[in-house]
Amino acid sequence: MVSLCVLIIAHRITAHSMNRKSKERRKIISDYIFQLLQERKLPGDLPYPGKKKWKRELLKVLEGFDLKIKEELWEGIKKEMSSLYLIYFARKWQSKGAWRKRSFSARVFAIAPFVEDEEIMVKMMNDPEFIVKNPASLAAIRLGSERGIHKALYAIAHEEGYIHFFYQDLLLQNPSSVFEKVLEFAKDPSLMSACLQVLSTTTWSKPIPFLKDTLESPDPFIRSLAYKILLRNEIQDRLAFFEKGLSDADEGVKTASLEGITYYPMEPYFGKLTESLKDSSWPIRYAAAKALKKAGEEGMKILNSQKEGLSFQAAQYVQVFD
Amino acid sequence: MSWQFWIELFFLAYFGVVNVVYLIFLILGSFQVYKRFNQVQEEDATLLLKSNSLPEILFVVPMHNESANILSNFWNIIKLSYRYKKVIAVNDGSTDDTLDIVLKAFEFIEIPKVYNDLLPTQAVKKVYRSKTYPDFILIDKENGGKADAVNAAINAVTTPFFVVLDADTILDSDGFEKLIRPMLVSSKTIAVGSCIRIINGCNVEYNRVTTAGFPNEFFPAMQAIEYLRAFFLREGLNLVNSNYIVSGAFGIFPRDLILRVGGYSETVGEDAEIIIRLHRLMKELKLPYEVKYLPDPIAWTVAPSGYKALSKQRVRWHRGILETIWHHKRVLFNPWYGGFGVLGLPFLTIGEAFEPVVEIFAWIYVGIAFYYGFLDLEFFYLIIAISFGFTSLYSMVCLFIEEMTFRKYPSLRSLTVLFLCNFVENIGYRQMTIYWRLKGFVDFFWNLKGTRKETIAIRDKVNACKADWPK
Repeated sequence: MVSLCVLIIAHRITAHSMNRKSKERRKIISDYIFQLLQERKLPGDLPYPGKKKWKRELLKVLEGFDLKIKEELWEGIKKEMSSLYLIYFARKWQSKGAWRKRSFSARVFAIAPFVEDEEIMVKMMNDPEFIVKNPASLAAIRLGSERGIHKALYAIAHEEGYIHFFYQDLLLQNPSSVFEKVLEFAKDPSLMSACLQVLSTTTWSKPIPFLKDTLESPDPFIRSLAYKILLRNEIQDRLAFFEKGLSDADEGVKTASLEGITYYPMEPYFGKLTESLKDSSWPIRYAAAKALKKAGEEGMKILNSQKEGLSFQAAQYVQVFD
Repeated sequence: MSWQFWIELFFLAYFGVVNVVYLIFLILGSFQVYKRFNQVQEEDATLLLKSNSLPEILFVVPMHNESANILSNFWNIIKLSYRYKKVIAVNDGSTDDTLDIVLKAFEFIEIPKVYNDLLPTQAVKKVYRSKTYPDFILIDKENGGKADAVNAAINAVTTPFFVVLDADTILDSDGFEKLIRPMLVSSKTIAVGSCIRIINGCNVEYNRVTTAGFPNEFFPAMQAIEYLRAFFLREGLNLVNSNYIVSGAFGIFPRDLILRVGGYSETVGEDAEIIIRLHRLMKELKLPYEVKYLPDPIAWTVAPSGYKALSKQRVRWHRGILETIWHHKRVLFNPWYGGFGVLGLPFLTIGEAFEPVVEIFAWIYVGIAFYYGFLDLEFFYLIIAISFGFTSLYSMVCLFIEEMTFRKYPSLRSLTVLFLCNFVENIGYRQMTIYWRLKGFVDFFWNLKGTRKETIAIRDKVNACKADWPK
């Protein structure tokens, strides 16, 4: 019991001094990076005040800066610092038994991925530890690795559970390097839904060639994802698709279409909207009521004329909350 | 050999075996805690914070006469940095002003009830939505107990996960984000619990614990030590996937699964019952699964500080354990249910449920032996060492591991008080808990008729779930 107390006290003292040291090291590295950024120089131009063994502290500082700075100079600084002081350890530790070393390695690749390490990153995407797999996937996607993006899409389509949230997120962090490849992979039927899922979460400045086909897919899941994409992206005959979607049997398609027509003059659809106010599905009733409210005076008149039942509930609800 | 020898051997063997099991779980648990601690250090939660595609999580807060703490609890949830959240407060027939306080504080407006009740519950009187926080819903229903309130909330939403939170529990914002990942990365995870700490004695600012401190009052201080011990035991059980409880104060579950298994049951220990039912069903359906208990100290709860409240809680807990074991007695010692059947549930039964009975008989025997002059001093010292001494040593080791990892009690004062309380616990407090748990036994037998009825209802839920499960 006494020895345990002594151990606790000894641990406190050691931990305190280690923390202090680590803080000091991070401050030295941060100051150095600030200086580089202010003087617009690369690490080769100014002597590095740190030591090679400060690798964990350096990685932490680089990760911190990377969250806040996005300019080109920073990209150059972090690439050079990583190649000078970190990449050696990252390559050495990529297949070590200890997960902390593998995680360090993956994090280094994620900060500044190099083309020659693509093979390693893709391999690390299979790591049993998520804490290693995640930064490795980020590294491969940042690099624009075709195999990496394929792996991420495959995981979204086939891995059970909610892991697809993470992969989707990683793919969306670098949309420009990912977009063309996602379009390419969408030709594979087994990856189609995963590609649509990714494409439906953001607005793309480029056309999506297969979108029209998927809007008419017999599979309601594919169709509803395609309508979600349509909501965010402009195509020819967009309104016609929304019009058609108003009569679709699928709840997702109909809801997206009700939202979609609000981007256009709505008078021609008042009949359909009023009808949808009585739909048995709450999301449809709610979307119809929201659309009517957006339509202005005329729409509000329709909402106020609902006196009882399901349509009255929806009309009241949007007037209070939306 | 004399009959005294056999009696003494029984008591010593019982405490010895239970202690060895505790020790094994402590060793296994400490590895888990150390690994998780390193993971938390290594992982960058800002990536999660920036994420635009995480799933919505529902926070369910059942409330019955909770006017004292309820607002701080809601502010705590609303201000969590995890963006994709919905909150449902279920007023379970409060007789005080809980409902009025909440209605006023968050500008609730009555809305239509647009969902179907997939799980049967007591009648829902009204549904409200907050005008200031549109993702905050309030369900006002007839009293039906905590399980009924949680079921009412599950009916109302379609989020993939829900968190059950007691009305007197508050969360750490940073810690909560780190807890999402273990739930999401494996489809096998069917429940996630986390370490609960006691809020008494901590500094709370803006509904967050800013500095953890050790409770100043006697009962909460004792409970802080108990919580520390229990948490290492659960960590150990985690490694053999035999955890039998995810604390009712904080737990994350997938909604669809809970719907499939028929929701929470109206039993006293509903938090343990749902976990044991999930174990049972997963084993019977031959599905891979994991019940995770994470050491991250993210939830802080109010510990009862008075004798009456604490005694009520402990009697209730022990009755809950006994009822749960009764409901799932077919799992007990049944190798068909794997590690949970031969290790987890038997340990709950022998090591926890029957422990107060054995201990009280041990002391009755010591008393009789002393009175009639046949007390063997060697036996007396041994029993003191393996019951009292072991508990103190065990608590110290737990404290040491805690200190090496998450270190939630940073001040030296807290550590010193924790250390001292560790010794005081065995004199008085331990005996009180035995008394309360024995009362739990009495309550259990007194209500056995109702328990039997509930057992049939649970069996029906299990069978219905098995029949409906997709092939």
